[in-house]
Formats: sequence, C-alpha cells, structure tokens
Amino acid sequence: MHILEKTLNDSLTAHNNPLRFTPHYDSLWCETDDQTLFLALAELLRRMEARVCMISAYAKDEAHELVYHFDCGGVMANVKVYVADRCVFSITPLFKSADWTERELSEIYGITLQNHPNPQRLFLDDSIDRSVLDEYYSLSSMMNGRVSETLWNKVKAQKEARHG
Amino acid sequence: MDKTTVILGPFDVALEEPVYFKIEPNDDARTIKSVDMVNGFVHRGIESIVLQKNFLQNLIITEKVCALCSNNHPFTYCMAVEKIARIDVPMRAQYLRVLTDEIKRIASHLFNLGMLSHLIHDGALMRDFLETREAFQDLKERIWGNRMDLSANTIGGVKFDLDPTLITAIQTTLDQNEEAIKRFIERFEHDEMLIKRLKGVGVLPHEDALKLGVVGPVARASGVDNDVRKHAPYAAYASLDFKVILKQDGDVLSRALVRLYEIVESIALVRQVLNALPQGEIALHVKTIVPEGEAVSRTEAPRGELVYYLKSNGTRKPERMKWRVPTYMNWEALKIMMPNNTIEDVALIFNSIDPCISCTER
Repeated sequence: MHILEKTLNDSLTAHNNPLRFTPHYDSLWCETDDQTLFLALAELLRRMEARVCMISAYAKDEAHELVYHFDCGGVMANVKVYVADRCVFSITPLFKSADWTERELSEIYGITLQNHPNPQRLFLDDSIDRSVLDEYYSLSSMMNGRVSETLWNKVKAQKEARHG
Repeated sequence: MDKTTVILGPFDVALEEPVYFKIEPNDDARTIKSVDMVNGFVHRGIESIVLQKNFLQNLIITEKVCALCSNNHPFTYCMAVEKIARIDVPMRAQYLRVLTDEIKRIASHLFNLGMLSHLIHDGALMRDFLETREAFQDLKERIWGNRMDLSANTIGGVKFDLDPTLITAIQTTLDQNEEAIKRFIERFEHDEMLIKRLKGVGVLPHEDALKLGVVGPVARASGVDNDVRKHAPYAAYASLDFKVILKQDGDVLSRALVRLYEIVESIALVRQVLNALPQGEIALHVKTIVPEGEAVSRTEAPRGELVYYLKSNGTRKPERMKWRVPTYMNWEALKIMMPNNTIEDVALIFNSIDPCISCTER
C-alpha cells in the first residue's frame, strides 16, 4: 500500500496536482472539493489501470459527499469529493465500470451527471421523483408488491376502516 | 422477414427472479442483434433501512440481502465495523470465517452448475450436481443449524465453533464428494456433446472484461485475475495456499470450468483450515457502539468481489452504509455476451454470470 501511495503522490506532484493520498486502515484516502482536480486524478488512475469498484454517496448538511472507491493493484484508493450544487462530472467516459454506480447515485440523490454517455434511470421508474431517499414511500406503493388493483383496494379499504 | 422485438421476462428467465429482456433479432430472426434489460423490480431500499437499525441489528439485515451469498454480506459488513472500531478478530475466528465462506462457495457453485444443466435440458447431470450440493447443504445444517442463512458471523468473530465430531463430519463430506467433483470436471473437459453445446456461447473477450470491471468467475473465465482472496487477502487467506483459476476463452464453458476448479480449491482450503485451526477464542466481547469513522471492506463472494462502505458518526446506527455486489458489475457484460448468439441461449448465458437480482437491486 505504501508503494502505491508513493507512486500516486509522486505522479500527482509531477502533474502539478495538489491532491495527496494518505493511508487509513488498509486503504488510501484523498479529499477534494475541486472537480477539475478530481478529473485529473481519475485520468491518472485510468492510466494506472485502476477500476471503479463503487461510488458511495450521502447528503452532508446542504451538500453531498461522493466517495469514489478505485481498486488499484489490489489496494483500495478512496477519493472523497464534496459536491455543493448537485452536479458532478461523470467519470464513465474514463471508466466504463462507473456507469451503473453513477446512474444510481443520480436517481437516488438527484445529482446531475455531466457528460455521462447514458444518464438514464437505473432501477427506479421514471414516474418516481428524483431524490427519493430524502422522502418516505410506503414499500407497497414503490414496488411491484402491489400485485393488483383488487388487492390494493382491499388494503386501502381496511386502512380506511381502521382509521375511520 | 418480419422483425419482432422479443420480450423475455420479467419472470423465470433463468432463475425465479425478475429481470426483463428486450431482444432485437438479426435478419435471420433467430439470433440476437442487441439486447436491453429493464430492472428494478425488487429494489427494496435496504440501504435506507439499515440506517434505521443499530450495528447489531444490521447483522441480521445484511444476511437477508441474498440467499446464496448470505454469508458474505454480514462477513464483509463485520470487517468494516471491525476496522472502524479497531477490533483484532481472534485467529481461530478468522480461520472459521474462511471455512464458512468456502463451504458456501462450494454449494453456490454447484447450484449454478445444476441450473446450467437444467437449461441445456440434461436432467441427469442436473440431478448429479444438486445431489452433490445436497451433501454440503446437509453439512451446513449440521454445523450452523441452517442450510442457507448461516448466521456465522458477529462483530469481533464468529458465533460457532467446531468440535471433533463436526470436524469429522466435514472431512467425511469432503472425502465422499471430491471424486464426484473430479468426474464433473472430466465431463466438462472431455464430453464432446457438452463442449459442443457450451463452447463459444456468450463470449466475453478479455479486453471487454477489463473495461467493464467484471468480477468473480466471469472475470477469471476471460483471463482477468482479480480474486480478492489473493489480491487483497482478508481473514486467514494470506496464510493459506490456493490457486486462482483462470481461463482465456470467456465463454459459458470457461465460466463453468472456473467454478468447477474453484470447488477443488475450496475443498483444499477447507482441509487446510481444519489442519491449521488455531486454538483460542472465537469472538471478542465488544461493545456495539462504534466510534466515528469510515471504512471500506471487501471479500470474494461466490459470484465475485463484494464491497462494503460504512460510515459511522459515533451513534448506535450507521450514518451511511453502502454495498456493491458482484452481479452489479457483471450485468452490463451481458450486452457483449449475447449479440449473435441464438435467442434460445439467452437464459443459458444469463445463468452463466450467476446472477443475483435480489442482491443487485437491494
């Protein structure tokens, strides 16, 4: 891991990129709020034949944090990107392996992907609003568990009877 | 010839999970020009549910994400918690975690190969695979009291131990079934009918496998060596000797052979665990409050790399918990594998990635 840390940080220095990786547990971590620097770092990782394992997204205060998890020669290199305006450059043009995970974070958190080759919904139906993780949906109205109108009408009738 | 889009699904394409294929045929009306897939039928929002449960309750939730990989989910989740809490898991527990994972891998691979046999209408071969698997299902029931969800892991170790009787039962099961596995390999290597049916079907070239970032037996059948057990060893794998199985043809036959040879390696791993099982505790008695922090962990599930991200803010519940399952990475490869194959092979190719829709959609 320390060899990769040195290789990555030396390459960043050589490209005048101020980002740096530091070890934490058994993986490398790096943080930025500058998406241009992040894209340059992603290009560097692509040249090192890294692959995107996953992108974890979550809301933080009024903004979002995206953690990009790259496998680079068996070491996990994690890059945390702060996103203030619900808009992020897609890295799918660099890494095809980022396709699904970018589309998923887009549909769940309502984050717009710039330059994504196929920015369609991944799992959620188009009729469901963006940013659904911020809202409550009953399971039966969200998925096909609502088998038929006949069943659903009985459920609704029982609910109405219970609550008057 | 009139061209009609072929719709397969959403149910019973290969397994009993919902996925929906839209297939555009070539001019010959029997081979595939392109394929599109619609998914999302079993998206349950589990990543949201786990944020409402405490760290111990999430052991139960993660085990329910998937049946065949059910051990890997709590296992990988525990590893993430243990990293944040800086828990050193006892060595005996690390070995027992490997034993659990490898027995699950054997049973999972045998199930996939049984389904393959079913899809090529070889009932006798299917029966043989599932009978062999049944021995490992019985073994799981004997050790863990359950045949699918084993509840083997806990934060800081495992919940089970082996006594001499159980160790003998494991050794007997391995001894009694090793020959059957070798006979399966012999058939897949030399049976002309079987090879003719599976060779060249659903090819994923090496370059595409790399580009898509596919994992597990799908990657290894296309010559991509990314077995997490070897490249980022966890639990006791660094102390154990095993080979990463690689094939180069990237077709359905190669994926079946990778799984078969991996069963042989798993048997050898289980034997090594039994021979080298350290004495000592099986778990640490730890508090369930996890300090503030974040960690990433991963394991090699039967279908490939499983990744967990966990972020804790020092409360009893996670601030964010995300996981990515192997099928998630392998699904897009179907768009490379399927074109120019016959429409009747859609289910066979689909099964060859050992898909888990429940896992993927969460």
